[in-house]
Amino acid sequence: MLLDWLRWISAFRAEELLLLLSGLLFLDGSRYAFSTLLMLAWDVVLWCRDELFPRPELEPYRPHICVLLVGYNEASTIGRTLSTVYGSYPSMEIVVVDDGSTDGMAEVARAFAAEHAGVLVVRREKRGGKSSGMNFGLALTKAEVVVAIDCDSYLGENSLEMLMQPLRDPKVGCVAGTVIVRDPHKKLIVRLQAYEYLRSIFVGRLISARLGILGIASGAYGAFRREAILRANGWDVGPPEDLDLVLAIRKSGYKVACAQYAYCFTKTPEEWKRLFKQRMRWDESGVIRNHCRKHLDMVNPFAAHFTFSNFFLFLEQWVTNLFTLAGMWIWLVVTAITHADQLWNVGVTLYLGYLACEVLNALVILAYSSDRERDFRTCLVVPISPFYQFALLCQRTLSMFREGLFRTSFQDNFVPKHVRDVTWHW
Amino acid sequence: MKKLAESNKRDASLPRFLVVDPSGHDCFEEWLTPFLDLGCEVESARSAAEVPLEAAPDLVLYVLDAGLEGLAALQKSLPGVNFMVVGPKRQRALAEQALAGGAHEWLCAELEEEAEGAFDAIERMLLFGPRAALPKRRARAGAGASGELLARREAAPEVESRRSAPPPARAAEVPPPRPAPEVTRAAEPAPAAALPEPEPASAARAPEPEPALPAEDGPIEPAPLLTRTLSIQRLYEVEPDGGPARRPVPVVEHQSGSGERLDLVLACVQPFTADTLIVGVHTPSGLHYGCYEVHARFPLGDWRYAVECELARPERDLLATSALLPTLDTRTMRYRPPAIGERARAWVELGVLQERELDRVLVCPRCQALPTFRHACKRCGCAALSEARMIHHFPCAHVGPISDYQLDGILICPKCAARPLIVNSDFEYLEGPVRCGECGAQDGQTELIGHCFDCELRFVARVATPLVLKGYDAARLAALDLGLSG
Repeated sequence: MLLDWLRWISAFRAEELLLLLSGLLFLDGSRYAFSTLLMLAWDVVLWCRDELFPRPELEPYRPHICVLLVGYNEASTIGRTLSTVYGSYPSMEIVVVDDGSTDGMAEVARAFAAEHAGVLVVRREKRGGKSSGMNFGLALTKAEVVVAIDCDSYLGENSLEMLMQPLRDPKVGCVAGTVIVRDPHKKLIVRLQAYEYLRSIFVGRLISARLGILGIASGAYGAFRREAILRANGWDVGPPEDLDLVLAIRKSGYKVACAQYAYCFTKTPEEWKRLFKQRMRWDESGVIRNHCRKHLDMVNPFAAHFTFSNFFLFLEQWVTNLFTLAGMWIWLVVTAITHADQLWNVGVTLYLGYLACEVLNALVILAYSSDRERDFRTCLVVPISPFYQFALLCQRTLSMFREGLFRTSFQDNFVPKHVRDVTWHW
Repeated sequence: MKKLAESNKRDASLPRFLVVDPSGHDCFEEWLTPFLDLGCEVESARSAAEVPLEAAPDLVLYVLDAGLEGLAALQKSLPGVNFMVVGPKRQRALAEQALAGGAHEWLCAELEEEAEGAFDAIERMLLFGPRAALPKRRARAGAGASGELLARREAAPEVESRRSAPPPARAAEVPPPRPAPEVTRAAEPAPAAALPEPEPASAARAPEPEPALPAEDGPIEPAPLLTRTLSIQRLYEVEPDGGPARRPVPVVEHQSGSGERLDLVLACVQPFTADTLIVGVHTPSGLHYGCYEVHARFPLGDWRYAVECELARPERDLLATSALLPTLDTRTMRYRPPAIGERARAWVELGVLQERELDRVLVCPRCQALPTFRHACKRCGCAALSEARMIHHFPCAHVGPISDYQLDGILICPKCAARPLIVNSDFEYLEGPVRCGECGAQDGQTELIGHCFDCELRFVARVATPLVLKGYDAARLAALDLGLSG
């Protein structure tokens, strides 16, 4: 069988082979491979420069911060989250907002607050959604920087201080932390997500930040300059409230940075059904809702807040999420027609080509990794990653259709009904 | 003429009732049930003309519906009998006429319904005579009569009752006089150690008929109609310190007198020296106890004594509620244990008292005095707190203080400028944290802080000392037990 494939592939001329493999460009992994390799090469140059011409080390930037923990029914995790956050930064306060939980989350937080100064716990009797919870917390603090952390996430060592460093630049309004998966080797599904997070967040956001087109700071871990939040009028009704706020902050003229080694360990779905549901929510409420509808004015060249970085950010989102998606399906159909009798060989070719890209990705991840052993074990899922990526591609296609045609993101239970019924459906 | 009920045996000392009721209401059976149970005779008549005059009743319950003419005729034919007119409030004018015409009491009650307090009124009438003959204090406590009626009755001449005519029962029951040298008048009983200081003995303690209540209430002697000998089941001598005597209990060989006053012949094994006795009496509802003061004791030889005693005055009553319950010293704001003190345990063992947990209060952890509590700042204990109330606008998720939303008297969202806002439809109120006016700290919750009245200590309520307040219950002899037991 392999010999058949070798004979089949060797019969291709170079341009024919490139045309056949052009389908890889429509997949995320391939794009990441090329861009991250370029970034790594550039970083090697910078590293050599710093070695040759060392720059003076700056004092750590340590503004007063407020950590906002907004959660609903997070009684089982809030205690540990608080214990990892509390005391991990020299000048901080913590505000816990219990968004109408029914599992006693506020009581757990209050028990912690009773023994630790500087922890404020407020409880809402009725669930109002994460956005209003964040705004509620924001109204209770005067801290210069607000850090949003999910109630089921734990911080890495010295994470908060590393997250603050990009804010030394007053033009930076928001910093994205690096969210990586907790217990990445627990199950195959978790390991697949862990590898995906490493590729798209740990390395992927670094590229976007370097290019100045980073348009998201995960709601699980991100730092926001208070002034920038106020200029962006706070959090809007989500989901995704994090993407929405970051775009609004960019619209206000601020830059978005990334702190690659500011780790936050989060929990991911461990069942396929839950994973599918989570990704549907993310994708439905992402590009179509925000980049194509709500914040479309950011690419209006006549608008006062128009910037080219924002324009390229939107262009990148449209290309990677819409055009490539459409192109992929078109390419698949065309290929299936033109190579109807050679589908197996085409499939093997694509798989091997994509695998090569993912191996490059894994090498880049390991090059940047601060825990290579852990990340190497995570990267062992690379051989089956193409299948996972293809499944996500199908799911994303479905979500785009649903959002484009039915605005399904406005029916998500993530936002309470009494709120989503009255908010604006962009 | 019919008998409502009749017991198997007819006791001549028991009161007789006559009910004059043209409509034949059933309520009287219910009101008079306790008396019927004891064997009292109750007769009823439809009108005054039907009333037999050969056996005069002790109390006539005259329903006002029967008309005032019949009442007047009946009063003439039954002189000296207590008359109680019965009718609802709407017959007030008629009742006033009846009272003016010589009736002694108006029992204001709806005959068709269960009348609360009707039995009590009848019982009081039997025990103490017409209300007009009672002191003002008791009259004011009466039910169903207006102030005007009371005033008129107080002004009315005292009605002579057959049973209340002097000399009253108390005087008649004084033991036969003994040779003067043999009489040992009991000294004024020594007050219990923790009891309040008794008032000085007054003329009211004299054996002759005297007002039983303070002089300012008027020299009116209650005129009980029922004077029955108590069925004494237990008798304990009381030591001067208020505890039970540690010697064999005397045997009651003979007893006489009313419930209020007892004349006993006791067989003792040691000299009888007690000034106070606790007497256990069998009543239909169980064993009840009364505290009696010994006024005189007469040695009869062979360790036998004739003893005169009378129901103890409140200030000397060991079983009085005031002696059995803890009291609050308002000067030090501390609870004092019951006045009966440690002696209560001995009485509990004898079954006279029962210990009871009354309450659990939180007191100062340092000095045990009562504190006040307030919701206050966790950090400094200051109660001057301000609460930040906020508004959450649903469509745009903005949350801010109410003042941010108020503009020209209406609510406008400062973020999206939506107006006007309707509560629960467009927005909700959120209770923000409280801010301390003293130290400026803000917190989601306040702390319950105690402040001691005495030592001024401020402390968190959860460290306050719980204090269990215990008191004692005594099954005391009631008025009805004194009159009708046995």
